[in-house]
Amino acid sequence: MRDILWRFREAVGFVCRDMWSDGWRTAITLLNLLIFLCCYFCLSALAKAANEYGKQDEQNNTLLVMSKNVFNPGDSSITETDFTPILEMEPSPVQAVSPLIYKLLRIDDFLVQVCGARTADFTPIFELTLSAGNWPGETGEVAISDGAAVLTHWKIGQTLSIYGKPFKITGTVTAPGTKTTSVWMPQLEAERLFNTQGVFQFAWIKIAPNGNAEQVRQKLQNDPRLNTGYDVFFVNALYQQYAQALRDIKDISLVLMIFSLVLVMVGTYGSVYLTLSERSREITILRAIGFTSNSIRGILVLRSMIQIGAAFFIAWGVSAFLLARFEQLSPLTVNSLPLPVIIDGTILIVGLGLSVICGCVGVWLPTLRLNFASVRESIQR
Amino acid sequence: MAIIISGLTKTYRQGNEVIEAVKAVNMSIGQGEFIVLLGPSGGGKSTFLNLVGGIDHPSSGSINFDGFALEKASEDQLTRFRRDHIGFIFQFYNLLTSLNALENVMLPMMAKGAHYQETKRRAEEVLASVGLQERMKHTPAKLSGGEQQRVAIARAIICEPELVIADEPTGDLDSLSAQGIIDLIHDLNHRLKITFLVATHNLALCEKADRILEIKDGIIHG
Repeated sequence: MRDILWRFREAVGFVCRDMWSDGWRTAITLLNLLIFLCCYFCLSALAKAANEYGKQDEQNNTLLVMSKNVFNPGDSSITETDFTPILEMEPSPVQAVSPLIYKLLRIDDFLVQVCGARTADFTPIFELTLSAGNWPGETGEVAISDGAAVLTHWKIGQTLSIYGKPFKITGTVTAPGTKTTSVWMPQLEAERLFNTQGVFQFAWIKIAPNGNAEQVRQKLQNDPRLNTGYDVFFVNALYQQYAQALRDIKDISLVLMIFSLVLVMVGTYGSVYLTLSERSREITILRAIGFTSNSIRGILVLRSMIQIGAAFFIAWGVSAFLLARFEQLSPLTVNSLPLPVIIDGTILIVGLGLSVICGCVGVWLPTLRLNFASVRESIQR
Repeated sequence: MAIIISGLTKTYRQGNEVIEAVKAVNMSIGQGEFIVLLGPSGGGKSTFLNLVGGIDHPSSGSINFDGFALEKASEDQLTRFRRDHIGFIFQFYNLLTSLNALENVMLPMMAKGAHYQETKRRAEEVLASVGLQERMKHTPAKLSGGEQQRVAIARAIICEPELVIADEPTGDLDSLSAQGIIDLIHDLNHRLKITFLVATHNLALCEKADRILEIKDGIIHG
């Protein structure tokens, strides 16, 4: 065992001295690998964030009613008189309905959904769960979503300026869909703030446990009192729209991430191919004095692994620094969904493993010809 | 050690022409012999050395090296055989420029997977025996032609091979350095009983030889 370690140590020393003596080529190879691996780290962190924040919980028991043909949900307009067809279906299959005031605003440079609803409906209808702090009181207080807390780093006790008025954050809430960046306040406070008494953006419908949500949706959609001016759909559909962009980002990032690892293999292939071509004399000498093609391949694999290892850990440092800096200066959001992009242990381990595999393939391919070229042919060349 | 060569032939195709570089050579080489191979350029000296050294495969015939049939061996088998039984000295030294003298000499034993400390000790011993104990840490760029060839000789004998093949070992040296190399080879042949098969134009080597062979147009005359 000790002898194996000695030999390995000497092999590493031999390879390192060789790389040092061929300094320019080593530096260029390292730089190439560094760029590809930085791309890997950034893209995989982006894909992971997009995957996590693009998942929305199923909410098949909730419908919402909003104005037809509005691009921005904040432009929807519905009054309580329009609730009549819905109220007629209570208590079953409709368990309850609640109005929701909804505005998309910029607060502290973040694009945020501001929601106003009856505080008594926060939990039973909107399914909000207090994860920290307290529910907001009737005046000058708000609760923020988990997504908002992650993106903005707002804290409980902090004061926000919304529409020029101060609001204190009293708690954070969790609910299906609140990975979006949202702020919740009592309905009356929202009506005062936006000066919209009796006009809401959504009717939020909770279906009873034994109710068929799709049937209710179709019945309401076909009701002449609603079908001319309003659309009825599952709450999921709204969230899915927001999350679709993230899923698209995830898919593209994954493809590019794999491509960057393929480039690691291509870069290694190119470096080894050049070595075999430009240093054929040295390789022939080694074969003539007794190094088999597998031994030479082993030396080249070791060299590539050292280069890939060095580039990998440098790329990790560089990428982590760049992502942290970017997060500090301008946190990434997509359709108000926060996207904290960080490199975790899984990305490290998977990346290292795949880089090693790609590197080995990149060495193996050009060294195949060692198996077929005789020493005499190499000498003559 | 005994090398039996029977009907050894090597042909090459150059376009439509078939060239017989070595033609039906029959001979034997015994332990401790110093054999010089003379001949004009293109006469087949290097081809013959490559065949005997296991660097090339014959077109026909056989080479039996202590029971091992070189003509039937694969590339990797030949590589291992060379590593264990044959040393090479080339005209242009063929040292690795990124390694110093000691590291160059250590290479054959490292190829065998020998213990590092033992390899280093043996390499130092061999370099001292060729008169380079003060130059072990120098890279080839810092050595003269004669010194580089001494390093090459040390590399060739570190694994105590039965046969050393030298292709024009003094071809790139001045007369003084060349004489030093000739004396060294002669000394190693006498002291260590290593068989030397040397291709050369240098007649001074012939004076030290046990046997002189002439090769012309692929035919060897003894």
